[in-house]
Amino acid sequence: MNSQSPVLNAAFHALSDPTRRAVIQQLLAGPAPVKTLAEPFAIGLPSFMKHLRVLEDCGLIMSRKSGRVRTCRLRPERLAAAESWLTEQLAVWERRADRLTAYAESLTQHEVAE
Amino acid sequence: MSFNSELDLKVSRIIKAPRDIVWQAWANPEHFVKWWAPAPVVTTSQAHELFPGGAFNTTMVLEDGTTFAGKGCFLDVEQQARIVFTDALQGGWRPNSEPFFTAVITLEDHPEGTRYTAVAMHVSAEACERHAAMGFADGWGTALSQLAALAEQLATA
Repeated sequence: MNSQSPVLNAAFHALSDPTRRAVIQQLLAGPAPVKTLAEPFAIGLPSFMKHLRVLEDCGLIMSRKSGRVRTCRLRPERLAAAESWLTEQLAVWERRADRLTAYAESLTQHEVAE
Repeated sequence: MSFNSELDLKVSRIIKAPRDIVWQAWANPEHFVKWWAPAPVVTTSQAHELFPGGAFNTTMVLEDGTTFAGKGCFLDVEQQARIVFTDALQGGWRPNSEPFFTAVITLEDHPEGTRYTAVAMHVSAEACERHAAMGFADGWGTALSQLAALAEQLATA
Protein backbone atom coordinates (compact mmCIF):
# COMPACT_ATOMS: atom_id res chain seq x y z
CA MET A 1 0.00 0.00 0.00
CA ASN A 2 1.09 3.59 -0.49
CA SER A 3 0.89 6.77 1.57
CA GLN A 4 -2.87 6.92 1.04
CA SER A 5 -3.40 3.84 3.17
CA PRO A 6 -4.85 5.58 6.26
CA VAL A 7 -7.71 6.96 4.18
CA LEU A 8 -8.07 3.77 2.21
CA ASN A 9 -8.00 1.57 5.26
CA ALA A 10 -10.71 3.68 6.80
CA ALA A 11 -12.80 3.46 3.65
CA PHE A 12 -12.22 -0.28 3.33
CA HIS A 13 -13.28 -0.83 6.91
CA ALA A 14 -16.46 1.14 6.28
CA LEU A 15 -17.09 -0.59 2.99
CA SER A 16 -16.42 -4.13 4.02
CA ASP A 17 -19.58 -4.39 6.07
CA PRO A 18 -23.15 -3.33 5.22
CA THR A 19 -23.97 -2.45 8.84
CA ARG A 20 -21.03 -0.04 9.07
CA ARG A 21 -21.87 1.39 5.68
CA ALA A 22 -25.45 1.98 6.81
CA VAL A 23 -24.24 3.71 9.99
CA ILE A 24 -22.15 6.13 7.94
CA GLN A 25 -25.11 6.68 5.65
CA GLN A 26 -27.22 7.59 8.68
CA LEU A 27 -24.54 9.90 10.08
CA LEU A 28 -24.35 11.81 6.80
CA ALA A 29 -27.64 13.36 7.91
CA GLY A 30 -26.02 14.55 11.16
CA PRO A 31 -24.95 13.31 14.60
CA ALA A 32 -27.17 10.65 16.16
CA PRO A 33 -27.44 8.73 19.44
CA VAL A 34 -26.21 5.11 19.43
CA LYS A 35 -29.71 3.92 20.26
CA THR A 36 -31.15 5.59 17.15
CA LEU A 37 -28.32 4.29 14.98
CA ALA A 38 -28.87 0.73 16.23
CA GLU A 39 -32.62 0.72 15.67
CA PRO A 40 -32.70 -0.43 12.00
CA PHE A 41 -30.55 -3.49 12.72
CA ALA A 42 -31.69 -6.87 13.92
CA ILE A 43 -28.51 -7.46 15.91
CA GLY A 44 -27.80 -7.17 19.61
CA LEU A 45 -26.39 -3.96 21.02
CA PRO A 46 -23.02 -5.56 21.91
CA SER A 47 -22.52 -6.65 18.25
CA PHE A 48 -23.60 -3.23 17.07
CA MET A 49 -21.16 -1.53 19.44
CA LYS A 50 -18.35 -3.60 17.90
CA HIS A 51 -19.17 -2.10 14.51
CA LEU A 52 -19.13 1.39 16.02
CA ARG A 53 -15.77 0.66 17.60
CA VAL A 54 -14.32 -0.34 14.22
CA LEU A 55 -15.55 2.91 12.70
CA GLU A 56 -14.22 4.88 15.67
CA ASP A 57 -10.84 3.13 15.65
CA CYS A 58 -10.27 3.86 12.00
CA GLY A 59 -11.19 7.49 12.57
CA LEU A 60 -14.32 7.74 10.48
CA ILE A 61 -16.61 8.57 13.39
CA MET A 62 -16.31 9.81 16.95
CA SER A 63 -18.66 9.50 19.88
CA ARG A 64 -19.28 11.46 23.04
CA LYS A 65 -21.23 10.45 26.13
CA SER A 66 -23.49 12.97 27.77
CA GLY A 67 -25.38 11.57 30.72
CA ARG A 68 -26.80 8.24 29.53
CA VAL A 69 -26.74 9.10 25.85
CA ARG A 70 -23.78 8.36 23.61
CA THR A 71 -23.88 10.41 20.42
CA CYS A 72 -21.90 9.59 17.27
CA ARG A 73 -20.82 11.88 14.48
CA LEU A 74 -18.72 11.62 11.34
CA ARG A 75 -15.15 12.91 11.30
CA PRO A 76 -14.67 14.27 7.80
CA GLU A 77 -11.81 16.40 9.13
CA ARG A 78 -9.95 13.21 9.91
CA LEU A 79 -10.16 12.19 6.28
CA ALA A 80 -9.19 15.70 5.24
CA ALA A 81 -6.20 15.59 7.59
CA ALA A 82 -5.05 12.19 6.37
CA GLU A 83 -5.20 13.35 2.80
CA SER A 84 -6.28 16.79 1.67
CA TRP A 85 -9.68 17.08 0.08
CA LEU A 86 -8.11 18.40 -3.10
CA THR A 87 -5.83 15.38 -3.42
CA GLU A 88 -8.83 13.17 -2.87
CA GLN A 89 -10.84 14.99 -5.56
CA LEU A 90 -7.86 14.88 -7.88
CA ALA A 91 -7.70 11.10 -7.42
CA VAL A 92 -11.40 10.86 -8.32
CA TRP A 93 -10.86 12.84 -11.53
CA GLU A 94 -7.62 11.05 -12.44
CA ARG A 95 -9.28 7.64 -12.21
CA ARG A 96 -12.33 8.90 -14.03
CA ALA A 97 -10.06 10.10 -16.87
CA ASP A 98 -8.37 6.69 -16.89
CA ARG A 99 -11.71 4.93 -17.19
CA LEU A 100 -12.88 7.28 -19.96
CA THR A 101 -9.61 6.70 -21.81
CA ALA A 102 -9.96 2.92 -21.59
CA TYR A 103 -13.62 3.08 -22.55
CA ALA A 104 -13.20 5.46 -25.53
CA GLU A 105 -10.27 3.43 -26.82
CA SER A 106 -12.35 0.24 -26.63
CA LEU A 107 -15.18 2.03 -28.47
CA THR A 108 -12.75 2.86 -31.27
CA GLN A 109 -11.97 -0.80 -31.65
CA HIS A 110 -15.60 -1.91 -31.66
CA GLU A 111 -17.03 1.10 -33.53
CA VAL A 112 -19.67 3.30 -31.96
CA ALA A 113 -23.13 1.86 -32.34
CA GLU A 114 -25.11 4.90 -33.39
CA MET B 1 -10.85 30.80 -16.98
CA SER B 2 -8.63 31.41 -13.93
CA PHE B 3 -6.91 28.59 -12.08
CA ASN B 4 -6.57 28.66 -8.31
CA SER B 5 -4.14 25.96 -7.19
CA GLU B 6 -5.65 26.00 -3.68
CA LEU B 7 -9.12 25.14 -4.93
CA ASP B 8 -8.86 23.79 -8.46
CA LEU B 9 -7.56 20.67 -10.11
CA LYS B 10 -6.72 19.73 -13.65
CA VAL B 11 -6.29 16.32 -15.24
CA SER B 12 -5.32 15.62 -18.82
CA ARG B 13 -5.02 12.52 -21.00
CA ILE B 14 -4.13 11.72 -24.57
CA ILE B 15 -6.83 9.29 -25.65
CA LYS B 16 -6.02 7.13 -28.66
CA ALA B 17 -9.45 7.60 -30.19
CA PRO B 18 -10.92 10.22 -32.51
CA ARG B 19 -12.62 13.23 -30.98
CA ASP B 20 -16.13 12.18 -32.06
CA ILE B 21 -15.72 8.85 -30.25
CA VAL B 22 -14.56 10.49 -27.02
CA TRP B 23 -17.47 12.89 -27.39
CA GLN B 24 -19.87 9.96 -27.71
CA ALA B 25 -18.43 8.40 -24.56
CA TRP B 26 -19.31 11.62 -22.70
CA ALA B 27 -22.46 12.76 -24.49
CA ASN B 28 -24.35 9.50 -24.91
CA PRO B 29 -25.68 8.42 -21.49
CA GLU B 30 -25.55 4.75 -22.54
CA HIS B 31 -21.79 5.12 -22.88
CA PHE B 32 -21.37 7.65 -20.09
CA VAL B 33 -22.69 5.37 -17.33
CA LYS B 34 -20.14 2.71 -18.25
CA TRP B 35 -17.12 4.71 -17.07
CA TRP B 36 -18.29 7.54 -14.78
CA ALA B 37 -18.09 5.56 -11.52
CA PRO B 38 -15.71 2.73 -10.74
CA ALA B 39 -17.07 -0.83 -10.57
CA PRO B 40 -18.80 -2.23 -8.63
CA VAL B 41 -20.57 1.11 -8.17
CA VAL B 42 -23.21 1.36 -10.91
CA THR B 43 -24.10 4.73 -12.43
CA THR B 44 -27.61 5.30 -13.73
CA SER B 45 -28.57 8.34 -15.75
CA GLN B 46 -31.87 10.13 -15.17
CA ALA B 47 -31.16 13.17 -17.33
CA HIS B 48 -28.26 13.97 -19.63
CA GLU B 49 -29.47 17.12 -21.39
CA LEU B 50 -26.45 18.48 -23.20
CA PHE B 51 -27.44 22.11 -23.63
CA PRO B 52 -27.03 25.20 -21.42
CA GLY B 53 -29.48 24.83 -18.52
CA GLY B 54 -29.98 21.13 -19.25
CA ALA B 55 -30.27 18.70 -16.36
CA PHE B 56 -27.36 16.39 -15.56
CA ASN B 57 -28.83 13.88 -13.13
CA THR B 58 -27.05 10.70 -12.19
CA THR B 59 -27.39 8.17 -9.41
CA MET B 60 -24.61 6.02 -8.05
CA VAL B 61 -25.78 2.65 -6.80
CA LEU B 62 -23.54 0.77 -4.40
CA GLU B 63 -23.42 -3.01 -4.25
CA ASP B 64 -25.78 -3.20 -1.29
CA GLY B 65 -28.35 -1.03 -3.06
CA THR B 66 -27.44 2.24 -1.32
CA THR B 67 -27.95 5.10 -3.73
CA PHE B 68 -26.43 8.57 -4.04
CA ALA B 69 -28.38 10.85 -6.35
CA GLY B 70 -26.78 13.95 -7.82
CA LYS B 71 -28.56 16.73 -9.67
CA GLY B 72 -26.35 19.00 -11.74
CA CYS B 73 -26.71 21.40 -14.64
CA PHE B 74 -24.90 21.79 -17.95
CA LEU B 75 -23.79 25.41 -18.36
CA ASP B 76 -22.11 25.37 -21.75
CA VAL B 77 -21.91 22.75 -24.47
CA GLU B 78 -19.88 23.03 -27.65
CA GLN B 79 -20.32 19.94 -29.81
CA GLN B 80 -17.26 17.66 -29.69
CA ALA B 81 -15.20 20.38 -27.99
CA ARG B 82 -16.43 21.51 -24.60
CA ILE B 83 -18.78 20.64 -21.74
CA VAL B 84 -19.17 22.86 -18.69
CA PHE B 85 -21.31 21.64 -15.80
CA THR B 86 -21.86 22.33 -12.11
CA ASP B 87 -23.51 20.88 -9.04
CA ALA B 88 -24.30 24.42 -7.86
CA LEU B 89 -27.39 24.37 -10.07
CA GLN B 90 -29.79 21.72 -11.32
CA GLY B 91 -31.69 21.53 -14.59
CA GLY B 92 -33.34 24.83 -15.58
CA TRP B 93 -30.76 26.79 -13.52
CA ARG B 94 -32.52 26.10 -10.20
CA PRO B 95 -29.95 26.57 -7.39
CA ASN B 96 -28.80 23.61 -5.31
CA SER B 97 -28.32 23.94 -1.56
CA GLU B 98 -24.77 22.55 -1.40
CA PRO B 99 -22.73 24.02 -4.24
CA PHE B 100 -19.34 22.36 -4.54
CA PHE B 101 -17.80 22.59 -7.99
CA THR B 102 -17.91 23.61 -11.64
CA ALA B 103 -16.13 21.38 -14.16
CA VAL B 104 -14.88 22.25 -17.63
CA ILE B 105 -14.25 19.34 -19.99
CA THR B 106 -12.27 20.08 -23.15
CA LEU B 107 -11.62 17.86 -26.17
CA GLU B 108 -8.93 18.80 -28.70
CA ASP B 109 -7.47 17.04 -31.70
CA HIS B 110 -4.08 15.49 -31.07
CA PRO B 111 -1.75 13.61 -33.47
CA GLU B 112 -2.40 10.43 -31.47
CA GLY B 113 -6.14 10.98 -31.13
CA THR B 114 -7.72 13.35 -28.64
CA ARG B 115 -6.43 15.50 -25.82
CA TYR B 116 -8.92 15.26 -22.96
CA THR B 117 -8.73 17.88 -20.22
CA ALA B 118 -10.93 18.18 -17.15
CA VAL B 119 -10.69 21.17 -14.83
CA ALA B 120 -12.71 21.22 -11.62
CA MET B 121 -13.06 24.50 -9.71
CA HIS B 122 -14.24 24.21 -6.11
CA VAL B 123 -16.14 26.75 -4.05
CA SER B 124 -14.03 26.80 -0.84
CA ALA B 125 -11.95 24.56 1.39
CA GLU B 126 -14.71 24.62 4.04
CA ALA B 127 -17.33 23.45 1.58
CA CYS B 128 -14.93 20.81 0.32
CA GLU B 129 -14.44 19.41 3.78
CA ARG B 130 -18.18 19.37 4.24
CA HIS B 131 -18.41 17.60 0.90
CA ALA B 132 -15.99 14.99 2.20
CA ALA B 133 -18.78 13.98 4.56
CA MET B 134 -21.72 14.62 2.24
CA GLY B 135 -20.34 13.15 -0.94
CA PHE B 136 -18.97 9.89 0.32
CA ALA B 137 -19.89 8.07 -2.87
CA ASP B 138 -16.88 9.39 -4.76
CA GLY B 139 -14.55 8.65 -1.91
CA TRP B 140 -15.88 5.13 -1.81
CA GLY B 141 -15.51 4.95 -5.54
CA THR B 142 -11.87 5.93 -5.21
CA ALA B 143 -11.33 3.37 -2.51
CA LEU B 144 -13.09 0.72 -4.55
CA SER B 145 -11.09 1.40 -7.68
CA GLN B 146 -7.88 1.26 -5.68
CA LEU B 147 -9.01 -1.94 -4.05
CA ALA B 148 -9.76 -3.38 -7.49
CA ALA B 149 -6.34 -2.30 -8.72
CA LEU B 150 -4.73 -3.85 -5.70
CA ALA B 151 -6.66 -7.09 -6.22
CA GLU B 152 -5.44 -7.17 -9.83
CA GLN B 153 -1.85 -6.69 -8.69
CA LEU B 154 -2.25 -9.47 -6.17
CA ALA B 155 -3.83 -11.75 -8.74
CA THR B 156 -0.96 -11.25 -11.17
CA ALA B 157 1.81 -11.33 -8.53
